[in-house]
Amino acid sequence: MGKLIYAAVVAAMLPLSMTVAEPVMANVMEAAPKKELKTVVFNVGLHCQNCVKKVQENISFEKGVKSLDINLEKKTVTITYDAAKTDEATLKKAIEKLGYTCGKPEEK
Amino acid sequence: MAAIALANVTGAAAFDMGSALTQTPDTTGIYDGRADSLDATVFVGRQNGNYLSRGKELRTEVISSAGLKKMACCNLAESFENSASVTVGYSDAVTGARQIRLLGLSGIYTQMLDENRPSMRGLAAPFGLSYVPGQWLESIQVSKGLSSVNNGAESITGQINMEYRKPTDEKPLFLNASVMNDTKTDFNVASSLQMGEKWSTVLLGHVSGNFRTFDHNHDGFMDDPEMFQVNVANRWLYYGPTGVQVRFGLRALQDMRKGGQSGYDYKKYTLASTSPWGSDIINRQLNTYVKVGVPISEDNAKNIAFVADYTLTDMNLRAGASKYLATQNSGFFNVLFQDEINDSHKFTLALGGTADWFAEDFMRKVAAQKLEPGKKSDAFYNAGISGEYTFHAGDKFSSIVGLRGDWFNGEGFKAVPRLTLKYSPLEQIVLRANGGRGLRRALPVIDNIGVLSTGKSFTGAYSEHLLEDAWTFGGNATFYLPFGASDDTYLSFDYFGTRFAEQMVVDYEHGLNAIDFYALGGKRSFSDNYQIDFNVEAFRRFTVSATFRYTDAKVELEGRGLVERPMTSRYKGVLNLQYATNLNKWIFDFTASVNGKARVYEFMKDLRGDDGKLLYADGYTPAYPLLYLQVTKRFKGVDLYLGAENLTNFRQKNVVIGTSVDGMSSHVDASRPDFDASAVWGPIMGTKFYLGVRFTLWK
Repeated sequence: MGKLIYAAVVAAMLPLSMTVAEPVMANVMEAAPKKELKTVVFNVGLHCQNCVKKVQENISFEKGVKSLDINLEKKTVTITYDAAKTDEATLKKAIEKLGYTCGKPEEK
Repeated sequence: MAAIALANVTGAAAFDMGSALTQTPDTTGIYDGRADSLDATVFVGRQNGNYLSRGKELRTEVISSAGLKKMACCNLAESFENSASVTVGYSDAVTGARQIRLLGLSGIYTQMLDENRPSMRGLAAPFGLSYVPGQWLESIQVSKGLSSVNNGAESITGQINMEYRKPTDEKPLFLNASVMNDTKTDFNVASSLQMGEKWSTVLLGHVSGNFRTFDHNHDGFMDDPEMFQVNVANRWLYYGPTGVQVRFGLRALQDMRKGGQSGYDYKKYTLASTSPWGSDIINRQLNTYVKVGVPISEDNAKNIAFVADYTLTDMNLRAGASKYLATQNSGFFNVLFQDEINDSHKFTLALGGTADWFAEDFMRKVAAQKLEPGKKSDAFYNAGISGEYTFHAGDKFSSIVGLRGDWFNGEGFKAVPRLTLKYSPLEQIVLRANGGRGLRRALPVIDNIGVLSTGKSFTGAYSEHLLEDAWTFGGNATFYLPFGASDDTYLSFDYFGTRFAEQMVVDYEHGLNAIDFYALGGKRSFSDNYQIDFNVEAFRRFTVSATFRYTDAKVELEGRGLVERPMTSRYKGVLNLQYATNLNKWIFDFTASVNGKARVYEFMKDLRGDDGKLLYADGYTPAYPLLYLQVTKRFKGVDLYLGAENLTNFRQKNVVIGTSVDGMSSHVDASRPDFDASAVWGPIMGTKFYLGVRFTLWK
């Protein structure tokens, strides 16, 4: 019997809690900045599959990185990142920290 | 440092120059071996676990480092669960020794290579698969058919090459720890260090064991033996400015395992039903090797190489009242000269051989028989010269003709011809054909270590070392299909068959409670294998691999005529699904396999289960499924994985065969002649869960 009463009270309170929560959620959604995804292509001094793996295993876990494509033949690393969390300079530094030369195509 | 790594890796390809058929190390192979991959962008998220190599002349299945992470893969034996080509089983229900089958035949007919050096030979074979920690490996290449004659004549059904973590890896520290719910615990460490531009080394360590054992099926025998293994290795690479390479290494291991009935002590064991029966094994091994590669032309088109390997294996095995105490000193050497005349023509000449010195102290003491051959020594030598000519007509056609002449002590001169063809009429089609001869020296008891876990009498040629002789022929057609999220969608068909001209037959069905060893002697023994593989990345980061193998293996037994080879499953199907989230931060692996029925030994047909029903009414084992699941969460430098094996909890019933002890229907009397713990065809353990962590520190 006690369980039934408890269930009824919870059921009665549910709409109330939802009506309270909805405006709050709406405000949060509006307040959050729209995620701005940017893509950068770096020329990286890659030589072999070991290099590919090293870059892959490390840059994947850099803050803000959303996708990573590594082309060994062209020696390029293409990174799509969340501009609110990181930037080109930080990513460039992260690649250089692994021991590779890193630059933008036009800087070559 | 990256440049140095490249130089070393490129050099490795030149160094392992023994032959075009020689397995290319993974570090070079990913780009050298696969014609498609140099052009391909490496999308992070693509996980090539197991795949068929596109560029290799032999039909080669590569189990990559990603494939080795799909399951617990604590050791080499467990690395093949995803493969239909290779079937893994137990030699017996006592010692924990694992064995593989390739082309429906025992793993003794598969040449095992440790970075292209023959390994796991003789005494080192029965437990060898447990002595290669999965976490030490970079990749495994499984090739069907006959490989290079330059590595000796011993490959009959195929070869399995193991590539270890490299000295040039820019990983100064790798740690791994895993634990299973049956208390089996593994620790692995690896450290690759580069000292300047010329020298690099990798240190490898492994400790494993279980804290306790279980008897889940309540038959009085431990499901798994008590085990403790320590295994260490150190490998070096010198890469000189002139292109000279020197590789050398050392490895040492000790393994102790106690199986069977709890309380077994070989010193106190009497052949009485009240005396606990078991096995007590200590194996020790020491291996050292050196490989030297010297370019003798500026472009490395001409080069010579020298390979030497020495292995000391010491086996101390007690089973009940029997003992097998043996030492094997084993040496291998090979000198190779290669000349790549131009893009179309290349030849390799090799001069090499093996020497094995055995010292053994053997006693077989069971209720029905006492054999005391005592201490004896044996020496087996073979030396030969081989040549291999490779012709390439662009990317479309290649052929490799190999011929080896080997002298075997006591057997004389033998010629070993081999031929491999590869034709690719279109970029999307690869056709392969391969055939030739293989020879190996039989070690009847060691090759069939399970015979010691029985109470049966040995009869016949159990102490003779016959030169086994077989021909294998086969082919493969792979079609690359234009759909899927990558260019790795393929459908592949294989046929490979082996015909024995001479073989050591181990016959459990010739006499009552006896194991008869005899030479095939002109009778028939063969196996035919058909396989189909399909692989697709259905959508980005979701890979489906399906494979099915059918085997027809037959042997002509004394007094029984041509029969299906016993305990050999007719088929195996494997389905693997893998999904990885963006940037591989989560990886989900699911593998389902079904193992087909196998003909049981004649004496098993009358066996009844606890419910009184015949276990093998039709003379065959049941087909059974195995399910595996693993979830991996990856952080920067750290992987956490959680998995389960044998989710359906399938177990072979009545794995230990014999007469029940009075008053204990589920316990077998190991002192009687009908005791047999070697008739294993399925899992002994039920569902197992495991948890592990990998830590990688990058340079």
